[in-house]
Formats: sequence, structure tokens, C-alpha cells
Amino acid sequence: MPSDVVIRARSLSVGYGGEPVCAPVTFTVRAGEALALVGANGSGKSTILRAILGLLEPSGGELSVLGRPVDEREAVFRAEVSSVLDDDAYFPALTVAEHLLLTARGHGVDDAAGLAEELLAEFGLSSHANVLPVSLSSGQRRRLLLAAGFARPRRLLVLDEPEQRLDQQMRSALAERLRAERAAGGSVLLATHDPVLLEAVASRAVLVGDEQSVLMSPADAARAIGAETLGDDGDAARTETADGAPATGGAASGGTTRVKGASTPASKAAPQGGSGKRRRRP
Amino acid sequence: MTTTPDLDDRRPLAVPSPRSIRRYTRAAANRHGDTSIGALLSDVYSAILMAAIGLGTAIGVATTLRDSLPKVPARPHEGLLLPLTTLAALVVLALAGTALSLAARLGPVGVGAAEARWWLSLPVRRRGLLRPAAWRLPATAALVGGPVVLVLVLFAQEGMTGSAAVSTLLGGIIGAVAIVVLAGVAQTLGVDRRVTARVGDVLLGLVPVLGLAAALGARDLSVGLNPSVAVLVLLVVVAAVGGVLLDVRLERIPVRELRDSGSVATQAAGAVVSLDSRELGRALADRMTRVRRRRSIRFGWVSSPARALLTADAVLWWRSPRHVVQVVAAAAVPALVAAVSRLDTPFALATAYLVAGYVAMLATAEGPRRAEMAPIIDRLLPIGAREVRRLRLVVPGVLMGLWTLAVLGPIGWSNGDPAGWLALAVAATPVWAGAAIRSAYRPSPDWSGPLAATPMGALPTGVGSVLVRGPDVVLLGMVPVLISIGIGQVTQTLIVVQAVCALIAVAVGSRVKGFSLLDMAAEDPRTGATKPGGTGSTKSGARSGTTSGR
Repeated sequence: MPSDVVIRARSLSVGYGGEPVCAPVTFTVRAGEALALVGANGSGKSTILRAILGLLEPSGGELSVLGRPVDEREAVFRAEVSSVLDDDAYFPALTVAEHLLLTARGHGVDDAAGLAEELLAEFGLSSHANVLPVSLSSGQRRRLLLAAGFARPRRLLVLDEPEQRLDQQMRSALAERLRAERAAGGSVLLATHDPVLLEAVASRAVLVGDEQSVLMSPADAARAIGAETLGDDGDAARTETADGAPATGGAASGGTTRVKGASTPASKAAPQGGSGKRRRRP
Repeated sequence: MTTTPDLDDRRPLAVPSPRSIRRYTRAAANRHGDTSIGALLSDVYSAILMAAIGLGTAIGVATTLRDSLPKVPARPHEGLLLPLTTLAALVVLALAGTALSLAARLGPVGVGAAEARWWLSLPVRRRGLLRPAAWRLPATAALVGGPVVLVLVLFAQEGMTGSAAVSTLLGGIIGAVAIVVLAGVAQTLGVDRRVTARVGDVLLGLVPVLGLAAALGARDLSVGLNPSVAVLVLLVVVAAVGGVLLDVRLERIPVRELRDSGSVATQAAGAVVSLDSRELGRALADRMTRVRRRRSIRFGWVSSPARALLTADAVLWWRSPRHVVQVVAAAAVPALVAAVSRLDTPFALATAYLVAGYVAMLATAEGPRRAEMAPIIDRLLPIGAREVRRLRLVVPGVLMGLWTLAVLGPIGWSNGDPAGWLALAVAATPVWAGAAIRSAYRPSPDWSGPLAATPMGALPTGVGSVLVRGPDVVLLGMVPVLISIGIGQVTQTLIVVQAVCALIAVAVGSRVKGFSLLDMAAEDPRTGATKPGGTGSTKSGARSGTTSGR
């Protein structure tokens, strides 16, 4: 029986030119879980996501996605992992609908036209289905990227600050979508600055910092974001390990981390979801 | 909502073929495009016609030029004699090095942002998606390499037979393809593109060394200009095996590498279309710099803003091996031309001096060129705009001083007046520096000006007035040197005139406000204001607090 571990990162170190951009992180994401990466601007959240997607070679540690080492060159990896980063690039002569159709058909979706129509409606793009992306507003282009992330089967959805450029209504709809994703057994890994989205979606959070990266509950992470206490050194959340020592080098998912005085077994802090057979979510 | 097969059982996905993905994208784009088949055919016809006319003209010019050269050496030599064909072989080697270096810098396999985002995330075999991109550059190399080599060999060889011309053309085509394909194979094997480009640079650096060695040893290096059938077959085998390897291994190129290469190619193509040589240089150089160094320099000697600026420019040049090679290799070109028996004419030597000097000069002005785009150091340091320009003359001045001494020194030695020629070299050096700064700080081309008919098609005159900034100072400021080369001696008058030219060149190069006489052409006579993008354009001036104005 296959393991339900979707992402396993141990002392994962990422950076550019051999220089790490943040402290090593350790976490596990299981089927039906959503893990949020939080931290100040430039703390390394997006870099971690890029390493998990195989777009950047990790500089240290261990990383596996869906039980295999990360290799985005493998078709099966691309078939199972959907991602929406901040890559605002489109074919200049393809319409909004055609971009979604290209994605759906390219992933072998049977009723690509039907799915594209549903997603256009869900993301408020129906009236723009036949226009070129260049004529969309910044927020609408963001919706198109997000819609494309859902226009294909997947077991893991990786989102980099999906709340960017979205209005409140769309953020709520997105949170609902991501909750449904989890409920259906899908896994979500997202970097976010939005405390509401974080609490609504995430089962656990990792505070990414320069000197330490700490696993914590979504509520604590949301409070940390809300209070704007995410310092550069990542210690503003006053996080420490169970033995009273400052948490360093990341917290193992199986370990115990005390955040703001609350001792929470990390394994319990990450509710398990999606038991049974995993189903790829279209 | 649509459901799709579960992936747990690892069954093959029912995904479409890469070709159908490409076809779908192309068909969708064509539906929204307004280009008719007729217009497309017309464009293809025009391109083929232009290429044929260009090739025919080049062949005519090459053969006419060859026939106009003296049949015997213009001056008696003392053993330093090279046949014209050796020079052609060396130029072919230089072209091969350039092709390899360029292919490595451009990828050679890359994709644009849209393809990377929407194609490469699909679970289809990337090989099928990347195949057209992988063969674009080898095809371009074939189209350019064959005719260029043919024209070059036609210039060097008299009485070339039809079969020899065909074998030369085929050799150029297949050789160019083989070089680019091998660069592609290196890319698929994960070889650092800097290493591949460095191999090309080494080939380029070998040219003057081989040339001088051949001249001193009186060797003829003109082998392979008319490749035999066996050589052609060998080239075909290399190109074919490389092509198959490249095609098979396309799947192994990581998306970040593909995207990086695509980004460089897009930037370079934009620079070529807009005739912006500075942007082209940045596109080809930016990703070649090592991002990490063993240690940082302590800059203990930097005790003033002026020294900081000079140090920044000097370090930037020194850390770009391509520019170092460019200066050194260019210094050997005039000597090489002088060593070719039929080219040892004042005209050929003067042309070699100007062209090689300009190539070397461009390599010395990397600091000013970058400062024009992003004046980071300029803004950090408390130095006035005029002083910044004057200080920026120093690094090109020192390097071109060494270059000029290395070029004019041997000429003076062979003419029996080394002191005079060295004095002339010293006097000429500031002209190169002034031209380097003027070229580096030139504004963007003005595309809104009236059109002028040229052999390349219609060009806005505003573009020409910008592109000549730099070469104009070289041509006008080097007249005394050119006269000296022409008459084969240096006079005191020429040295004095050269010194005056140098002063003017420095004044023009370090000018930051108002207009110089050379800028008058870009001034709008009705308003007295400069044309957009012309002299005094605020493009870089707005970016640079300290170097604004022209």
C-alpha cells in the first residue's frame, strides 16, 4: 500500500549560488493536508516552493515528492503536481479559454471544454473567455493562472501567494476551493501573507526565517502575520522547542514545538485527511 | 466536474502528443492572427530574394576585392609571409569559435516564457515540444555559416572550381550545424554554459597565436578550405550523431535551464531588432558571470570616490574574460594583416587598425556601458557628472594605450622610427578613450525620424545619427594616424595634430551638458530641443542623477 506522504523535506536548504536564503526547513505534507509557508518578504518561501517543484536545485537536505526524488523532467511528476507561481506569461495570440483548454487537453481531461467553462464561471472570467490575456486586468490574469492550476488532475497543488491581486470575494472563493481540495484528499502547499486564507485552508504552517524555520499551528502563524511581528530573524513569534531551547534548523513533523507557550505535538497539529484511496482532483 | 483517471496505478496518461499540442497552439494563434497566406508567401519570397541578392553582392565584392590586390608583396619582407588562404583559414577558425561561444550563450536550446509556463508543465514528452526550438539555431547557423565561409574562401582563392565551391559551401553548412549541435549536446549533458562558451573564446584567442606562429615559421595553415569528400562525410557523421544525441536527450534539460536560455535569446533578439549593440552585449554576457567567487577583494587602495569608480570599472573588465580576450586578440589583427603577403598595403593596414581598434575599444568600455543603463556606482559616490565622465576615460584610456603601443610599436620598428610611432601611439590613445565613452553613453536610437533608403531597407535617420556616436570620433580623430600609415612615416606635425585631435575627443567624450558640434545633427532645428531618443534624450539621463545630459 503506497504511503500517503506527499512531501517529505528534511533539513531542506535552498538558496542561490551556494548561499542559503533561509534556515533549513523540515516538514511533511500528507494527503489531505495543507501546509502554509509564512514569513517576511524575502525570507525564502518562494525559493522553497521552487525547490519543491524542481525549478531550483536544493543546496542541502533531503526532499521527496510523492515518494520520489524531485525531477520535474519526469512526465509523471508534472502529471501529479500542479503549481501556480508568479509567472505572468501567456501566449500572445491565445484567448483566456484557449489557455485553459490547452492545459486541460494537455493533461488528458476528457471533457476539457466543460471543465474550462466551469472554471471560467467559478473564477469570474466567463465574459472574458474569448479575449486575449493582454487585455485582462492584473487581477483577472491572476485568476486565469489560478484557474489553470485547477484545470487539470493533480495530487499536490503548490501555490505561491495565491491571494495576490485578488479581491476579497475571490479570496473567499479560493479558500473554499482549497478546503474542498483537502476534503477530497488532495494536498496543498502554499506560501501566503493572508492570515484569513491561512486559517481557512492550512492544517499547519512553517514560519520561514533566516536563523530558524519553525513548524506552528495556523492560528499562531496567522497571529504572527496579523501582528506584523515577522522579524527578519524569525524570532518574533517567540517560538521555542519543547526543551526550552530556541528552535533551530527546522522542526521535524514528528517533534514537538511550543509556540507562544503552547505545546503542540506537530503530528497532532497536522490533521490527517484524505484517508483511503487518493483521487486526482480535476 | 470532470473526473480523470487515477494516477496511483501509474498507468500511462491519455495525454495528447506533443505535436498536437504545438498544432493546437499554432492553430489557435492563427485564428486570431491577421496574417494571410498571401502575405506570408510574399514575406518568404522577399526574404529569399534579399538573401540571394545579398549573397551575389558579397561574392562579387569578394572576388573584385581579391582581383584588386597586388599580385606580389607591396613591400619586401624578411621571412614574414603568409598566403591569403592562411588568413581565410584563421578567420574560419575565429568564426567557429564565435559560433560555439554564441551558441553556448544562447542556450542553444531554450523556450519563451509562455511556452515554459503553458507547455512545459504538461505531462507530455518534452522532446516533441522542444524539437523545433532545438533545431532553430543549427538551421540559422547553416544558413549563415555556409555562405559566409564560401565568400571568405572565394576572396582568398583564385580560380576556384565549381566543385570546390560546392564542397566549401557544404563544409561551411555542415560545420556550422555540427558546432551548434555539439553545444546543444553539452547543454543536455549539464555542462555549464560558461565552460562551453569559454572553449569558443579559447578558439578565438588561438587565432592570433596561430597566425603569428605561422608567420614566424612560414607555414601555410590553409588546410580544409576545400574539404574533401572524406572530410565532408566525417562532418556529416559528427553532425548526425550530435543531432541524434541532442534530440534524444532534449528531455533531460531542466526547465530552469530552458527558461534561462529562452530569456537570453529573447533579450538578444530584441537588441538585434532595435539595433542596440549595448543591450546585445548585456544579453550575451549577463548570465555568464560567476555568481560566487572564492573571496572578495578588500579594496585597500580605494581611499576616495574617484578611486572607487576607477576600481569598479577595472574590476568589471578584468572579471569578464571575453573582454580581456577581445582586447588581446584584436591587438594581433593588424600584425597578422601585415604578415599576409598580398594584404601588406597601407589601405589594408589602416583598415585593420581601425576595425581591430574599434573591436578592442568596445571591450574596454563595459563599465560606462553598464552605468548608462544602471548608474548604481555613480549614484552612490559623491562625484559630479562631468568628473564621472572624465574618470570613466581612464580605464579605456589605459587599456587602449597598451593596445595602441602593441599595434603601432611593431609598425614603427619595421619603419625604422620606433620613437616617432610610439609618440604617435601615445597621442592617439585618448581618441580611443573619448570614442569609447561617447559610444557607451549614446542615447537609444530615435525611430521616429524620417526614413532613408539603405541596402538593408528603409532606416529612420535618427537611428543612424545615434549609431555613429563613437565611430565618428574614431574616424575623425584618427586621421593623423591613418595618414602616417599611408605614407609610412611619422612627422612632428602629425603628432601635434594627433594631440589636438585627442584633446577634442576627450572633450567630446566627457561632455555632459549642451551639445557638441557632432551632436548638432540630432538637434531639432525648429525648437532647439533634441529629438526623442536623440542627443540629450532623458532616457538614461532620467535614470542617472549624476550623469544626466549628453
